[in-house]
Amino acid sequence: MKLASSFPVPAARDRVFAHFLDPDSMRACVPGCVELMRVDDKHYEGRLVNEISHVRFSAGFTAEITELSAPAEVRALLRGEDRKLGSSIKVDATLVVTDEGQASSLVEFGLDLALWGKIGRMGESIVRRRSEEVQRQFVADFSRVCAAGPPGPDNPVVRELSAPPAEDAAVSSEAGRQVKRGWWRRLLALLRGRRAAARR
Amino acid sequence: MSALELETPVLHRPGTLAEVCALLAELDQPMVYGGGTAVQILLKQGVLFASDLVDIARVPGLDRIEETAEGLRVGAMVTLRRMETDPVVRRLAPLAAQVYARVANPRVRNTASVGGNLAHGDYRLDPPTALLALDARVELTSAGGTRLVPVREFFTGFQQTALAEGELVTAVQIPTQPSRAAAFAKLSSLSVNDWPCASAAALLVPTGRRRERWELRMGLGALAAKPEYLSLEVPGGAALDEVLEAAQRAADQVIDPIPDVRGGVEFKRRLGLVAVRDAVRAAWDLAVQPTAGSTRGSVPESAREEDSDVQRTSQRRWWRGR
Amino acid sequence: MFSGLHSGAGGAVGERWARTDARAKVRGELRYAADQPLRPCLDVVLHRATRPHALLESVDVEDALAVDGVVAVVTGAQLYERFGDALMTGPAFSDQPCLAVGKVRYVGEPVAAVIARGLVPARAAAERVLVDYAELDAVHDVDAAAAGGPYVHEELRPSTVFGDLKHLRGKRDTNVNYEYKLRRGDVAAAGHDAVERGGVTVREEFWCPPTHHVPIELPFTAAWRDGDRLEILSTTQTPSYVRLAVADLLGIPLNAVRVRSAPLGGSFGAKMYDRLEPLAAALAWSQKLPVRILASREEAFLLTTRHGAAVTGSMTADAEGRIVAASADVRYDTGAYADVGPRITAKSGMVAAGPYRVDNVEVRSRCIYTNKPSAGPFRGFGVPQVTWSHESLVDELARESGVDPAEFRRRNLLREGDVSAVGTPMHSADFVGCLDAVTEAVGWDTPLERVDGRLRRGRGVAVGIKAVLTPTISNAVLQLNQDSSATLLISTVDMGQGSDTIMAQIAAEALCLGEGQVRVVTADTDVTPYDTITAGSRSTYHTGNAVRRAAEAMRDKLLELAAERFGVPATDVKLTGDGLVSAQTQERVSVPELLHGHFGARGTTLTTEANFTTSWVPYDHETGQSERVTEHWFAGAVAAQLTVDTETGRVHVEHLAVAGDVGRAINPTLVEQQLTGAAIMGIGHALFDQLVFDEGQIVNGTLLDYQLPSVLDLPDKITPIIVESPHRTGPYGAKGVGETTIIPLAPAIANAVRDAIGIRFPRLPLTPERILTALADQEASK
Repeated sequence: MKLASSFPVPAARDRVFAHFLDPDSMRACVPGCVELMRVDDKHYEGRLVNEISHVRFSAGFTAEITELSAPAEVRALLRGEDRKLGSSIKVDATLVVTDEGQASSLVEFGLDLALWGKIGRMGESIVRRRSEEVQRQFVADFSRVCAAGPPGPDNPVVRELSAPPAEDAAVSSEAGRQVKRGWWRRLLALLRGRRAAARR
Repeated sequence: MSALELETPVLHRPGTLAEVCALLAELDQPMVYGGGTAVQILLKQGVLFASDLVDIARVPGLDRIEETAEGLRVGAMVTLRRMETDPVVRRLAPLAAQVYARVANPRVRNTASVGGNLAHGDYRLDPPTALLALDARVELTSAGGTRLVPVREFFTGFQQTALAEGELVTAVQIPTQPSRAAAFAKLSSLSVNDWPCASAAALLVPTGRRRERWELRMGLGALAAKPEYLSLEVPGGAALDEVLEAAQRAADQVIDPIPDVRGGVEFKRRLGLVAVRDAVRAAWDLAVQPTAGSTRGSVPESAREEDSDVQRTSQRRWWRGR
Repeated sequence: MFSGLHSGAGGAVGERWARTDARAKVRGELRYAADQPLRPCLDVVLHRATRPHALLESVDVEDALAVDGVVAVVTGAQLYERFGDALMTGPAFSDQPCLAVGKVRYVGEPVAAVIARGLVPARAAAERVLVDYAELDAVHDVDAAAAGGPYVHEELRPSTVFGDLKHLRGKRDTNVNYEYKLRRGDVAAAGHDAVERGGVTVREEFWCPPTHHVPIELPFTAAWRDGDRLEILSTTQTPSYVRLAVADLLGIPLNAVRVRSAPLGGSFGAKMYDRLEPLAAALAWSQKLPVRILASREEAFLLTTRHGAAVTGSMTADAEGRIVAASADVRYDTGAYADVGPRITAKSGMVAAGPYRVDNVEVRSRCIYTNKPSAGPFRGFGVPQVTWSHESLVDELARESGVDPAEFRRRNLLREGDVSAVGTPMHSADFVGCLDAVTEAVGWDTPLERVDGRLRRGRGVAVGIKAVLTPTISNAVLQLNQDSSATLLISTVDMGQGSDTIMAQIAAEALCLGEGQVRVVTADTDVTPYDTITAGSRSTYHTGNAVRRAAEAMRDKLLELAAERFGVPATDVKLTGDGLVSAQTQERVSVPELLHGHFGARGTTLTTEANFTTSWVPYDHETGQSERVTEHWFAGAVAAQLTVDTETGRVHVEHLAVAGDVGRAINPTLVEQQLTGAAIMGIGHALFDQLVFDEGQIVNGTLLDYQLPSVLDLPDKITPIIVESPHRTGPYGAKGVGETTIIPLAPAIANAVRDAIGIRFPRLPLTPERILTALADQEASK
């Protein structure tokens, strides 16, 4: 399955590119990304949780940068596996960032996606639809992160997005009911809650 | 490793609505179990992650169809098959009866429930198309009480509904159908029995002081990430072609198909417009027809017959033609 | 010459006896394999590969073993250590391990088997098997696989069973595991010649996608040790094959393996050769545990499929409308394991030029490995895929030549005594009769209302040919009980085709028995004799002949016993429905009296047995020619009248007429049901039935997404027509019928669509999307 799209980001190319290679920024922006760390220059490891049509997956993944020409283009091979769900995923991702003026860039990406196992039976419609939502959320958060400053511990949006879910859970009261949080935030809250419970 | 960790959902069969609500409030990851036609499939495929299933079949009253001042109140556990066959539904909301009759197959309709069908929230469901056109409301109940959500606001996204945590669908309120000029079209691309690639319900309601105009209400299924509703005004003296043109233009704005094994975006868009034309044409024919037909019975003749899939109008015979 | 045809006078053959199992089936009382009472068995659940092609770095079963209720977790490496190369099984190539050894070759391949007390812990443990893979490049496209690497197997491993595959042993660096070649005349020269003189050539690239059988009953196998014997109960069409395969795998004598089958709830080729049986046997034997494996619906999709096939075909007619040359380059996608693919490749290659008199034919048919689930036998055995090509081509050729497509075929069809492209003469294959019958049924020559609102109406026809599996072996043992009821022991499996009913009819015919008097014993290799397979429409002819011979031997025994009793020569005695009578003395005796008198006891049995074996002349490796490549031919034709909705692209079949030459209908009702059932299955293949793959993953491998024809997809009218041109050695002239109408079904539909809208579709299925897109292109190019 091939997915491709492009989106503008309100920041200069160098900064945008730097965010793409920064594990903290990416963890904050990729919906459902609960862990992400850099192993070495070319390798990252992390964990992604997602829910597709009542099916939840939690996949450990590795990312290997196969081509890099900063600050313009990066190509990476992502492999993830949810053993419990008997599923694995392989993504050949290409990302191109072009300058669009002083504080503006265009990001173009192409994903060549292979889904194997039970998750692969969910059907293309569901996967495509979910990836559109993931993309929309990613673009929104990533644009904010890039606009807020360079990568690093001082980026306020990265800090905000990485804050524990209880703080940003939007427990706004409307007629005494809890308004629904975004699906991945709920999921995150749930997983963290479970982990906390397990520690107790 | 304990047996509990094997993660087979625990089945609860509470006897009252209060117990249901209490369970939904306190359990970790509960899922309401209605007719089970969707849940069972996910369970069998080993991809459903719910800690508990709360079966609401024993809750008294949920399987009732009541005639109210405004129309109908249909309990969540009423089967789709009863929506198809119940004389009260056929009299007060014939479009709903007609659409429910087209869901899946008789075995599914005999089991699947009105509430579960809506809660499933799939973009391809048939019933929402009629409920959107009829301006139905969904009763949602939780430990905190009951609220009414217009069905036009119930579907919030791809397989997402307005149901909050701890809530379940307890009933659907359907206003009496304001006009007999209604029709439903459903098109599939693989077997006839498959999920639709496009479906459209159309209802023409007379408006204006002298009822000189029509409000064309349409519910669309399978054509976007969620069931979509749209309405437009049509002058009473309009020609059919103008009506079809206007309906198509309006529908084209909301059609945003998801490609899959059943077809690509362009194909589904074209099919969607055919469904819209077919439904609107059939509804329009009824709208401009002399009203004599209304005495013929509870369900207008056309409501049983008009059917965009032209091939289906030919009489089917079992194969032994010799 | 037709000695077999008139010997029976029993009034059983040709009668519409009710299916022996009809009542039990409609009442839900029939016990399928998984319903049979068994000793308590442990459940087996498989951990399956999540990579299309990868080396197994490690398989960690520790967590799985820790789950409560788990008795054992077995890996391919463990089984390989125990059984060695015998673990690699398959009917043509010994290439498939029941659990992956060292390498996985398709997504969903079994990697480890959990044996547990109950399905819940077994499933939970299967999720806890941890596998580390070293991914390899995978090959998914059949033409890419034919052209080069990556290679699915390091080297070819033909099984020892077939001598003709010996030359392939050890061949490396190829995904092509078999190639069949047919050469007759000179295609290039003849084609050139004909075109020079005003003839026409048509050519096209065709594609048939992989499909699945979807039998309603899911595959099931149970196996347990009984001392040094192994017992198996399995949903199998091939109990005799399974006994041999399991005996070979375990290295024990044939009489130490007992394989029982049960009535099957549909199969269509899905339940034959090596399915769950080698795994169940290896687990039960090595672990000394009673086990049962019930495939889920999703797993059934992984067990076997119908070959996807690409065909590059061409056909040339001369100015007089005679087909002078035909060629086909056929590529079968056999998936990760060859299974019976090489046989399919040859069997379909033989008939790739169609049922026509063509002097110049060139066929190349290849069986090619890819990283997909293994493809195997499927109703039609690969022939529908080549028929899709030749029946589309011949239709275009007729249109190009300006001749009515039915008439064009009629001029060119093979007739009795003609020699087919493969070199074998035709007998009992009335193509013309079938063609005439179906075209007449749909009113081929009557005017057609072509435009009907947005509908376009058209008619199409297609003819199919297939050779029966040859050589094969059948045996029958018949016991006539003293009360004049009979018990028939054969290893044919009733899977809905009604074999238990018609075998009883064949046995009853010679013995003048009535409906219900012959009971057919369900296949059990401890009891019922060897039979090659229940497949390929072969049982009526082959097992039927063995049964007829056993029954005739029984009749002769009775005549002798009666002759002794009457004191007359045996030739003087006649068997009738009332018993035996002497023509000379008019003395009479009933069968019960005769046997009671003979044995001096009630309840006794008289036994006869018979064998029926067919022979062939193996085809030449270079030319594919053989003077006797098959025991007989199947001939069928389909005509369709349909409409195409130009707005939705949907095809609706108004009338489908299907005919098959069955030699002689043993039971006309069952024949009609087979003609009709195969046609309905074919409608699915024509219009929407297909397995969709993405990077080696089946994306529609559930019944939510995989579509089959439902009652709403049936034509308004189906007319099944029985054509009978008796076979000289068929039992009472009969041949089989199970596949006959599925073979030409899809092209008949496509030809009718061509007639309706003027567009040729070379790729199956004819989905509304394909049709609508083509209509839009047609509109745009106007």
